Amino acid sequence: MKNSILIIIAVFSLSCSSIRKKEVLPVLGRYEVIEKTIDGKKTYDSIPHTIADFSFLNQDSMIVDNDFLKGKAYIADFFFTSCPTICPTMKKQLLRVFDKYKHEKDFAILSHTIDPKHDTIPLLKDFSERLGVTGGNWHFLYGTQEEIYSIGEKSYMLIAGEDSSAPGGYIHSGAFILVDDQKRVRGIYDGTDVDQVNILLIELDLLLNEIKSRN
Amino acid sequence: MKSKAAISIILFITPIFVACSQDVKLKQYIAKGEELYLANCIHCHQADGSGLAAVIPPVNSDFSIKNKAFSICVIKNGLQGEIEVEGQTYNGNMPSVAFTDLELAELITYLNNSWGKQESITTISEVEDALKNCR
Ligand code: HEC
Repeated sequence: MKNSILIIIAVFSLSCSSIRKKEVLPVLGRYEVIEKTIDGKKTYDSIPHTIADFSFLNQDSMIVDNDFLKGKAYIADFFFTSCPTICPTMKKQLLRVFDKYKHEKDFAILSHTIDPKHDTIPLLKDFSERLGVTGGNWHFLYGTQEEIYSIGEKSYMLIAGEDSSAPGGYIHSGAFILVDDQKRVRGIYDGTDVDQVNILLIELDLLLNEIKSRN
Repeated sequence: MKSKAAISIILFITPIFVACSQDVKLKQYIAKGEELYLANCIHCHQADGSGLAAVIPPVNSDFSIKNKAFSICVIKNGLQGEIEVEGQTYNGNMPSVAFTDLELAELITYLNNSWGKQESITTISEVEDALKNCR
């Protein structure tokens, strides 16, 4: 009797430890090796992939750039307001994130429209209001087609490993990309999948704690 | 005497049989309707039928029971412009899909028997009638 209780406890604690969660999020993407010269000696350093500098306008015509994002973690995604496929589901899931973190000053959501011809700034404003997004940290970003594709393909989707040869192909990945305060990618989640967004909500807490301990 | 018993048995069984086959038909319509919903509607109206904020209206309310003919027309022809659903105004764009009358009957039957709603089956002839009066 005593033995069987012990076995049960042992099995239970084993199974608990095997589902231990991540404590520090990994830095994703390929590392680049750079050559440095220190005291006349050549050394090599590997630095993680970072998101290139950018500057976009949000739904209130406010500039969102690297300065603005200093000290913040953010989630980036790509969409367009008239999208009939996965975008509504992605926005539904982002609303969950927004509802939880809209007052968090070290955090932002950046939703890039990939259809600037149709999605003008006033239209993005209207769309954000219809979503119920006012006075928070969710930015609907407007930029030229080239700017968006450039940042999308060069900075974000290289990491997501999406095939970017098809124009706009990567957009339909539905990815939410989690970036830290040092422009490093720390997580990629399927924005159409409730379970993945549940994980994102947990991991975002980890990242925000990490940033707070740095600041 | 024997024939009387037989008749009463038939009288007793027939309604059960009819009710059962109605029930089977309803289940078939719901199952087919669900398939069509998953393939054509779920992106916008969501798995729980709740839609998206003030962007896409819900289909889990009894709007599509109270406005059945209109809803059939919407699913057949799509919809643009302002519409009020459950006290909220929407101004979106729903695309049209070339559904058959049977598929429309299955879809509306699915909508009206899901998420806690329990309406009866919508027949093909009801769909035909509704389509005659689409605006
Ligand atoms: C591209 C997104 C999209 C898709 C896909 C879509 N709808 Fe809609 N649906 C809408 C929008 C937006 C409206 C409101 C249109 C307006 O504002 O004029 C609407 C309105 C409706 C309405 C009437 C209002 C209500 O809430 O009951 C019904 C019924 C409906 N849709 C059912 C369906 C069904 C069934 C399908 C699949 C066959 C479907 N929709 C596919 C976006 C969509």
